[in-house]
Amino acid sequence: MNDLLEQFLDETRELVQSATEDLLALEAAPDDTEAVNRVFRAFHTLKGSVGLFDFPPWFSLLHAAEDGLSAARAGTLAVDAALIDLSLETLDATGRWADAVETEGTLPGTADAEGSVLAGRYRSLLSSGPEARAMDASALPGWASRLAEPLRGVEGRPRIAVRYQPRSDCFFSGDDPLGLVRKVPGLLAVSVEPAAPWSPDEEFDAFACNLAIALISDAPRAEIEAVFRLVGDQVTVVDLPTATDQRNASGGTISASAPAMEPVVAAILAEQVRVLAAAGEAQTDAGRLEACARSVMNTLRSAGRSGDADRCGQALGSGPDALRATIEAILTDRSNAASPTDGEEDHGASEPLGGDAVRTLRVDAARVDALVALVGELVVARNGLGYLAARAEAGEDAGMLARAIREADANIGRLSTSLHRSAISLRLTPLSSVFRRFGRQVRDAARGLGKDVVLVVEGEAAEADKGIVENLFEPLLHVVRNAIDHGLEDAVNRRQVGKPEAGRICLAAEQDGNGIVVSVSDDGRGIDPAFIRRRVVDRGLLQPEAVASMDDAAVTELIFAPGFSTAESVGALSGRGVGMDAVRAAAARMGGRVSVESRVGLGTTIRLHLPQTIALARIMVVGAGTESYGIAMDAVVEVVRRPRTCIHAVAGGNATVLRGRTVPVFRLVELLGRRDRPLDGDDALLLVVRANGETIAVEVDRFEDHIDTVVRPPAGLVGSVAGVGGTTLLSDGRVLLVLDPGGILADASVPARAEDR
Amino acid sequence: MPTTVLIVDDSKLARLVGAKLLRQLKPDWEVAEAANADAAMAVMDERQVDVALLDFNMPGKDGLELAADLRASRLHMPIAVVSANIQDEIIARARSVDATFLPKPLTEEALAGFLSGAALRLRRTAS
Amino acid sequence: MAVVRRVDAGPGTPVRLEGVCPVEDAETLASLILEDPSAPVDWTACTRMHTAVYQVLLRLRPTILGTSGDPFVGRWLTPPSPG
Repeated sequence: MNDLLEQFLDETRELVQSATEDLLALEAAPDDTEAVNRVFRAFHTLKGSVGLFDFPPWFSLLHAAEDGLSAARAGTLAVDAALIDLSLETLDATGRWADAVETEGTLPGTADAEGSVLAGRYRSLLSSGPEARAMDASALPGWASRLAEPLRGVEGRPRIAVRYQPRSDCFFSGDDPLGLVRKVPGLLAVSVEPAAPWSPDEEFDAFACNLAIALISDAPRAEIEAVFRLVGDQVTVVDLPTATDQRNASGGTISASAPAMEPVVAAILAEQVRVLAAAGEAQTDAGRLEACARSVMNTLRSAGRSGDADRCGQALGSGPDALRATIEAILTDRSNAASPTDGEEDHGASEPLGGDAVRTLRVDAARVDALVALVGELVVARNGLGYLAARAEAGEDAGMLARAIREADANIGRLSTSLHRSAISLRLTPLSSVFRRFGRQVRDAARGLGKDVVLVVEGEAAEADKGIVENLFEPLLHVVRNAIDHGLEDAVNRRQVGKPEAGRICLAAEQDGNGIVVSVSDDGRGIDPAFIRRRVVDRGLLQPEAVASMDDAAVTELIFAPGFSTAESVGALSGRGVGMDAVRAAAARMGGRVSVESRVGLGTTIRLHLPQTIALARIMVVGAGTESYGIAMDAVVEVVRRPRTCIHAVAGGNATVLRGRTVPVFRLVELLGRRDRPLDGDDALLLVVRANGETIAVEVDRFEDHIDTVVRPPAGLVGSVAGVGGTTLLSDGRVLLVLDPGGILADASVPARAEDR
Repeated sequence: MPTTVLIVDDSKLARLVGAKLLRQLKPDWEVAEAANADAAMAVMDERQVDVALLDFNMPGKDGLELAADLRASRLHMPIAVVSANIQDEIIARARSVDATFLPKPLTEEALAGFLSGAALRLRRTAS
Repeated sequence: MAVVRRVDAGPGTPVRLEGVCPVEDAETLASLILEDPSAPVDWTACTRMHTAVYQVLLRLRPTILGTSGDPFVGRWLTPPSPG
C-alpha cells in the first residue's frame, strides 16, 4: 500500500470518528449550527479525498451526503432522526469501505448497490412534495454500472456518468430536464425511469416530475457540469472506471502488474512534463532538470513504482528530452505492468489486518524532538567511552579508571533509561481515542433494548500505550453491553425504586502508580452474591461447601469464572457464551487484571487494572538463600530493618508492628518453599509489600540491586507457576525471576497465615 | 384579462429585446415595462401584473431585492431574475424567494421554458 | 394545441402529437389517454417533446406508433412499451 493511500485511510477514519461524535451531539441538540457545520465540512472533506482516488460509488454517496448536509446547514432540511440515522449509516459504510480498500485494494462488490440506496435516501429527503418517498430497492441500484454495462471493454476516452433527478416541481420553474440532456456533449447512453414508484392512475399529476435520468458521456467533465450548472443540487456526476482499469482489476494477481496510476500521481508527472517542455536558459535548465527528476522519482516511489522511478533516473543522464519522453511513456502506459521491482512492493497489500496491529502512529512532535535530543546526548556519552579505553591502554591507574567508568556507566544508564521511556511515550495515546467510540455503542445498545442510557466519560486524557488502548475496545464493549443489558433495570423498575429513568454508565480512567485503571460503572441493580452462589452450584462450577466458605467479595469475583453467565437467557447484546472470563483473559494478555465491586440495588463497577506501558519496570533485586529474585518496585511500600526481637510469633505465623499496625511477616525463602534456612543476624531486612489489598512484610536475606528493565510476561513452564510475575535478563546474562507478591500469597500451598481483620 | 408580463431593466435596449421575445413566444400576452424597482412598484399599483422578469444588476434596489419584495405580497407570482453573473450564491438567493434564474443574454429557449412554467403556475393558482 | 384528436373520433383513433409539444400538452395528452386507454399515440410529427409529455407516455404506456419525430427522443429514448 502506498503512502498516499495510507494517509487517506488514516484521515478518513479520523473524519468518520469525529463526524460520528458530532452527529450524536446533534441528535441531542439539533439547533447546534456549529455542529451541523462541522458535519458538513467532514463530509465535504471526505468527498474531496475520495475523489482523488478511483471509487465512483463511494464518491457519489459522499456527494449526496454532502448535499444533504449542505441543505441542513442552510436550514432547508430538518436535522431529524432520519437525516442523522442516514448519515451515521453512510459513515458506517465509509468505514467498512475504507477497511476493504486497505485489505483488498478495492471497494466490496456490494458498494455500488449499497451506495445507490443510501444516496437515493438523501435525495428523497431533499426533494420536496408528498410524492417523494424513501428510496428502496425499487429505485435504481447501480444505475451507473447498469447503464455502463454495454460499454464495458470498449476502449475510449474516460467516461462520466450523470444522474439527474429533477425536483418534482421543476416544470413550474420552467425547467425541461430532457432539454438539458439534449445539450450534453459526447452522449453515449441515456435512460429515463421513474424516480419513485408511481401513484395510482387516477392520481397521476402530469405536471409533477417523477423522473430519474441517467446518462453517460465521454466529454470532459467540466463541459458536462456546465450544462447542469443551474440545477447542480439535483445532479450527481461520477467518473466511470476506464476499460483498461477494469481489465486490470479483473486481471488477477500477477505479481508484476501495478494498479492504474492515481490521478494525483499522474497530475504531478504531467506537471513535470510541462515544466520540462518550457524552454529556458542553459544554466537554469540544469537545475530545473534535476528538480523535475527528483520530484518525479519521489512521486513514483511513493506510489510503489520504483522500477519506473529508476527509468527516470537513468533518463536523467541523457538530458531533458529523454526524461520528458520517459515520463510521457510512463503516463500513457498507465495500465502496463510496472517493472519487476514493483512486484515485491505490492505484497503487503493483501495482508490481513491482525486485531492487534498498530500500523501507523500519530505522534506529538514535541515528543519526537525530546527523543532526538536524548539520542544526541547518548552519542556524546558513548564517545566518552572511547576516551576511557584509550586511558586504560595508556596504563592509567585502575582505581581512578574504575571510578571514571562507573561514572560513564551511570550517565549512559540514565540516558538509555530516559531514551527508552521517551521512545515508549511515543506510543502513549490518550484513552479518549477508545472512549469516544462508546457514544455510538451505548446509543445503539440502549436503542436496541428500549432503555434510556446516559453515558458519562471521565479521565479520558489519561494515557497508555497505543497497543493497550487499542486492545481495550473489545473487552470494554463487552462490559458496557453487559452493564446495559443485565446491570441496568428497565425504566419501570427504576422508577419504582426511585432511580432516574435513564440508566447511568460511567466510563473512567485514572492513573494508579505505574499503571492505569479503566472502569465501567453502572447505577443498576448490582450483583447479588446470593444469586451467584445459587448459580454457581446449579451450574456445577463449585461444590456447595466451597461456595459456603467464600465471602461475598470472593463470590462476586466468580462472575469471571469460565462457564458462568449471569442472565436467565443470554441477553440480546451480550452474546452467546462470551462471558466475563473473556474480559479477564483480555486483561491478562495486556499484562493486567480485572476486579469487580458491587452493591445490590446500587450498581456495579468493573475495573481493568492495566500497565500503562509495555515498558521498563523498576525492579528491586533481592537475595533469598543463594538465589536472587526480583520484585516490582511499585509493589514495595518501604524497606525496613527490624531487630528480630520485634518480630513475634503469633497464631499461625509471625508478625511485627509497623507504624502502629500489625503486619504479618514472611520469609521469602519459606514462601518459595525452602523451610530449612536458618535465620541470619540480629536484624531482619523487611520489604513491606502491598498485594491483593493486604499489607505484609517479606523478609529477604539481602538487597542486591535496583534495575530498570523490561519484564517479559511468564511463558512456558515458568508461566504455570503461581507467584511468578515474569522474567528479565540481568546484565550478566542470568535470567531473573520476578515475583508477583499477590500470586505468591494467594497460592494455596503457602503456609497458613495470620487472619486479616 | 390577458396575462401581463412586467419587464424591469434599466437598459432600454434590454427591455426592447425582452419585449420582442415575449411577443414571439406568447403573442396573446401583454407586456409592461419599468426601468427600476420604484417604477416597477408604480406599474403594479396601476395595473394587474401576472408575471415578472427582473434584471439583477440595477442601480438602487437590485433584482433579487425586488423579487423578495414582490414575493412577500404575491405568493404565487412567477418571477424570473435575469443575470449574466451565474454565481452559486445568486442562484441560491433566487431559489430562496422561489424565483427562477435566467442567464443573460436571454435566449428564446430559456425564456420559453420560464414562460411555460409560468403559464402552468398561473393555471394552477387560477383553478 | 399540439395534441390533436378529431372530435368525432371513435375509440381507437390515434392521438396525434404535432410540432412542438410544450409542457402544457402533458395534461391534455394525459386526459385523452385516460379517457380512451385503447387509443394509440402517433408521435411521428412531434418535432420537439417536453419532458412532461414524455413522462406521460412513460407513465400511462399507450401503444406508440412509429418513430418519434423529435430526433433526440428517437435516438436516445426507448419508446415506453405498452403497459
